[in-house]
Amino acid sequence: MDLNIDSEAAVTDPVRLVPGGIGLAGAQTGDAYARHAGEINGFLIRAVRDIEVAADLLADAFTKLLVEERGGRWPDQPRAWLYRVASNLVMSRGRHLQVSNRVDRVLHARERGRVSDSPDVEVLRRERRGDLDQALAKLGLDARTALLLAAQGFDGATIAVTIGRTEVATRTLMCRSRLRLRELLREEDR
Amino acid sequence: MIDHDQALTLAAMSLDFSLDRSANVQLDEHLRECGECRAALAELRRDAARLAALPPIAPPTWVRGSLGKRRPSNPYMLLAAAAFLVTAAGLAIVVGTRLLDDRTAIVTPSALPTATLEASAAPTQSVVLEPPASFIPVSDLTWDPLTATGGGSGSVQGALSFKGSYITYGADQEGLTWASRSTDGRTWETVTLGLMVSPCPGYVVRPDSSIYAAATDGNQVILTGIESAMDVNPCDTSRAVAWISSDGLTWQRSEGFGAVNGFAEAIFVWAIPDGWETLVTGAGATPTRVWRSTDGLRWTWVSELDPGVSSMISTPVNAAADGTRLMALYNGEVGETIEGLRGGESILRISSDGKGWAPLDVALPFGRRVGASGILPPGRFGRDAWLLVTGADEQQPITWVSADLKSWEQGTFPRDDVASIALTRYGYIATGETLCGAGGTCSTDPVQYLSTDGLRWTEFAAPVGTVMVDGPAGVLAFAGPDFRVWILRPTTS
Repeated sequence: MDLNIDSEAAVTDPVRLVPGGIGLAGAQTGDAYARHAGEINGFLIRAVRDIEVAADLLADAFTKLLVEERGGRWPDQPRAWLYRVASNLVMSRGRHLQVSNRVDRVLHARERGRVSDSPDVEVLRRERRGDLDQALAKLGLDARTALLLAAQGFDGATIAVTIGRTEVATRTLMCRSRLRLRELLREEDR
Repeated sequence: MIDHDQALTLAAMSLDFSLDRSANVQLDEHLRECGECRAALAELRRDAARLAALPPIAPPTWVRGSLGKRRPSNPYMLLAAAAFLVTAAGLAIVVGTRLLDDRTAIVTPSALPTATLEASAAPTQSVVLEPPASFIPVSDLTWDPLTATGGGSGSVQGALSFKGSYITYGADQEGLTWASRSTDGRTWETVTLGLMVSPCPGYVVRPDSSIYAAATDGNQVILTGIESAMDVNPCDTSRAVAWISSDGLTWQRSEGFGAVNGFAEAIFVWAIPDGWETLVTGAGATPTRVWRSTDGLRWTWVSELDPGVSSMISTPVNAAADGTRLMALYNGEVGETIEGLRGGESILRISSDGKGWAPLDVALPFGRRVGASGILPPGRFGRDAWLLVTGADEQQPITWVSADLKSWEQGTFPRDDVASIALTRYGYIATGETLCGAGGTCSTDPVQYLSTDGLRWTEFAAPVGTVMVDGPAGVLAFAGPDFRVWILRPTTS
């Protein structure tokens, strides 16, 4: 029995190319975007392994920051705040529904020139062929996220808070993830 | 003197966490004697340095332009929040049919920890109310504030009802888990669950667990999750755990279980006719297993999903009162085929005993998956049909209804997301939200919908919280960190 529905009719395709966006009340968010968007986008892409999903999450994270700014609640450490929000977005989707497979649509989007408008995509393509990326792909989402946060200079206690686990669980997770990553890289070397 | 494995563990740990003095000394001593371990530590450091050297990647240009034009929302997060809600609604389904269950009383093993409410708390009398045999017809529903606060602090993760009371659970800002009980929704009694494990030698006392799921069989309520293992060597690994209570006030903690290579977490739990089952996932490629217990305290595993099915695959499970279990598998791994399931594909599996899981003859469209809270079994308020809620990127949710798990009807949910859904005395109540995307002009305010068949949805109110539960005083919702309690008021037709 096949329950396929007419998916075309249900698809919503939000318009994304909107000029402006960050208004006068978003000056700090604009600064933060200029400073941190690239690194957080890189973190998100490597964590969720999907360019489009990462972009969506990045937009969500910075929109939340804009909301904070407009509400007069600018975080003391916007970079750490952004990583925390981004990680929460990653972990929330990962824990319960996992990363969706959008490869086909990403490829179609590339053909239409919607996604691969950044020279960094070529960097990413090269990275994807590398052993480190292959090994990261074989780790669980939580492990990958924790290691990528550590790579951004966050200590274990901060990572525990960021990914919403106890410090104890995070310590175990990270320890095993580092050893597993090493094992995978060693296998790649053989 | 520590061995190689212990030294490697400590070495890896030292990259992200400060080791205590004793561990530091032991590691140093070992490294002095062991060239192989020194080389391994150097490799771990090189790996960390390579990760740190990964370059930033400029985002697509549309992202910056979209800021402030889109509502920060994430359908996955919203559905995730609903997981606990449906635990309340879906698993409480057995309440009505099993209120008179004559199960043997629990024998408390002395070695297992128990948390009890302080003796000063006034005793509460449980009033067991029969749930309505069918949905109560209403012409409208509104939420009224019931009480400003109740239960534990922090956030309410989920709620369910059993034996004439409501049970909520959550964690405070420090991660300390708790469970709370009320018979009327106004007065709440809270028990701390997160300090029941003695810390490792030299460790400070701290929150030791997280709750992921809850269920009731009508007589007892069970919570499952993860805890720190402090009684094994090496100390401080993680394993699955359950807490069980017959009154919502006195809780027994199970033995830790399920750990493979020092990690396991019990992410779904459901009642079966002779006990409980829980789905336990491990780290990386560790197989996902179904564990069973007759008393909620001692667990043995009864089935293992296909070897390739690990925590990388989403596996929500729920069960009906007759023991029929339904599991939805979704492979979310980009570009990977696992056990014949391509990335983006979903399948449903059915089991009558928790051991054998046969594929169900239903093909969900590619990219469409059942959410963590998206399986609602039949059995309560006269509902004789299963309800599935599926989502897909940039497509509206679809609800699927079947009484026999063979013939399915489907309905399109009127919003882009189902943030939460619960089975109540009035029907299914779902919180829907619209994702406008950048520059959208649509209303993004969440709205709640009522449906008596799971297929056609009628808008009725603005939601006050995503965690809802039907219990002795009515349908309650819990709003955010302040734990404000709301009650659903019907206008009968």
